[in-house]
Amino acid sequence: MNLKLLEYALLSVRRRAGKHMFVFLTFTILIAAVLSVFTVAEALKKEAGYSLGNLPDITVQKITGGRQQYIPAVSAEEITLLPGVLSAVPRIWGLYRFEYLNTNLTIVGLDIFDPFLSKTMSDITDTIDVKELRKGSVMFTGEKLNETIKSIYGSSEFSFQKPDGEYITLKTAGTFKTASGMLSADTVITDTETAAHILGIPPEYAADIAVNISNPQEISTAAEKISNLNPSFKVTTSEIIKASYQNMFDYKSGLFLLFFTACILTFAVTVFDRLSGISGEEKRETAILKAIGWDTGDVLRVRLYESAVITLTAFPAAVIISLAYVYLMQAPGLKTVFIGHSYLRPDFIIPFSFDLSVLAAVFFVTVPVYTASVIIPSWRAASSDPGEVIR
Amino acid sequence: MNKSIVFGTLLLFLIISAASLYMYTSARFTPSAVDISVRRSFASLTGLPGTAVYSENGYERHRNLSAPADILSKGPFSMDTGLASAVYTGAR
Repeated sequence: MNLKLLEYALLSVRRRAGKHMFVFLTFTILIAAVLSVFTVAEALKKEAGYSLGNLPDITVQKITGGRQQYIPAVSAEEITLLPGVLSAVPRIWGLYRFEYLNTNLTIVGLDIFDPFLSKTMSDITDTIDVKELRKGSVMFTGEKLNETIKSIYGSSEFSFQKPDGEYITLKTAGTFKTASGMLSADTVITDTETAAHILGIPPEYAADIAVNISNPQEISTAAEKISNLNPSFKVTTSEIIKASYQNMFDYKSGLFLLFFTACILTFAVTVFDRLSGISGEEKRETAILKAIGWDTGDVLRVRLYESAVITLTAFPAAVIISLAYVYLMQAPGLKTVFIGHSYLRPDFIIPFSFDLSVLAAVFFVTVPVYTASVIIPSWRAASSDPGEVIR
Repeated sequence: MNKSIVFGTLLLFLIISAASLYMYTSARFTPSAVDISVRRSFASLTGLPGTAVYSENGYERHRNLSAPADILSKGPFSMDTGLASAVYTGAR
C-alpha cells in the first residue's frame, strides 16, 4: 500500500465530504438493516430447532375424507410388531381454543405410569410432584399462561369446556421453567384421561401414534411399511417436519431477500447515478494530476483507496449498529414484524445467532458494485487527454 | 501521514468495538447449556414441533401435525405453495 496515495485519497474524501458521507450512510444503513433481519430470522430458527431435534422418528395420523380422525390406540400394537420398530406409543394431545385471548392452548396428556416421567418433569419444572398428577384435576402450564389465568380469574384454576359443554376444572400444580418459555408458553400438561376428556378423544383412541425406530437408516423403510398397514394412515417422518420448517423459514427469509435485492438494486442505481456523472472539478483534478506526471494507475489507485475508506469504515459501523439494535435494544419494530402479537407470547430474548456468511455475502454483493461505480468513470476521465480537459 | 494515522486509528477503533460487541452479545445472549437442556427435555416430553410464537392459527402451531390436511403443511415442497411452483407453471 502506498501511504502517500492513501493520504491523498483521505484528503480527497474530506474535500468532497458531503458526497462521501451520503454513500457512507446509505451503505451502513443498508448493511445494518440486512444483518438485523437475517439475525432475527436466524434466532427464531434456532429456537424452533430445539424442538425439532427431539421429535419421534415417525408420527402416524389417520386421515379420511381429507380430515384428521382419531386413530385407534390398538393400531400402535400392529405397528410395534413391524420389524425395526423400537416403540409405538399412542399420544393424547390437541389444541384447545381459548376464545378469551383468541389463541390456542396445546393440551398434552402424559402417561402418569411412565417410569421416566418424574425425571423428565423435574428437568423442566421448578416444583414437581407427580403424585399430584396421578390424583388428577391438576395441570402443569407455561409460566405466561399461568400468569394470564391468574390475572383473569384471580386463581390458579382453569375450567376447560369439554365438547359436550360440561366443564373440567384443573388446578395449576406447577409451571415450566422460564428457559423453555418459547416452547411451553401455551402448553398444558395433564394426565391422559383428563386430556382426552378436554379434547373429546373417545376411549381407546388417540390423536396420533409416536413411533421410534431402532436404526435411523431404516426410518423411510419403516414409514413405508406403516403406511402399507392402512390406506388412511398419514405417516410423517421427523425429516419431513424438519424440511417443512426449513421451507417455512426459507419462504419468510425469501420475502426479505426479495426486499434486500430491491434495496441492493436501488443502492447500485443511486451510487452509480451519484458517481458516474463525474464532476468537472474531478475531471480537472484528474487532468492536473496526469499533467504533473501521475500515470493512470496512480489515479485509479487513489479512487480505489477512496472507495476502500468508505466501505471499510461502513462495515464495522454496520455490524456495531446491527448488534446493538438486535441484542442490546432487542430489535424494536423488527421483532414485532417477525413474531406478531399474542397475549400468550413469552418474553422472548433473542438468542445469539450472528451469521458471518451473511456478512460476507453482503460484502461481496455491495463492495464490487460500489468500487466499479467509482473506478469505471475515473478510468474514463484518466484516459482522456489532460491538455484538452484543462483547456 | 497524519491523516493516514487518524484513519488507521478510527478503523482500528471500529473493528475492535465491533469485535468487542460481538463477543459481549455472544456471551450475554447465547443460551446456557442448562437452558438448552431444559428446552430439549421439554421437547422430548411432548414430542411436538415448533415454538409458541404463533398460537393463534391452528396450522402454524405444531405445523404438519396439528392440521395435516391443511395445504400449507401438506408437504415441504408442495407444488401448490412452494416457491418452485414457478418452474412447473413455466413447464406447462
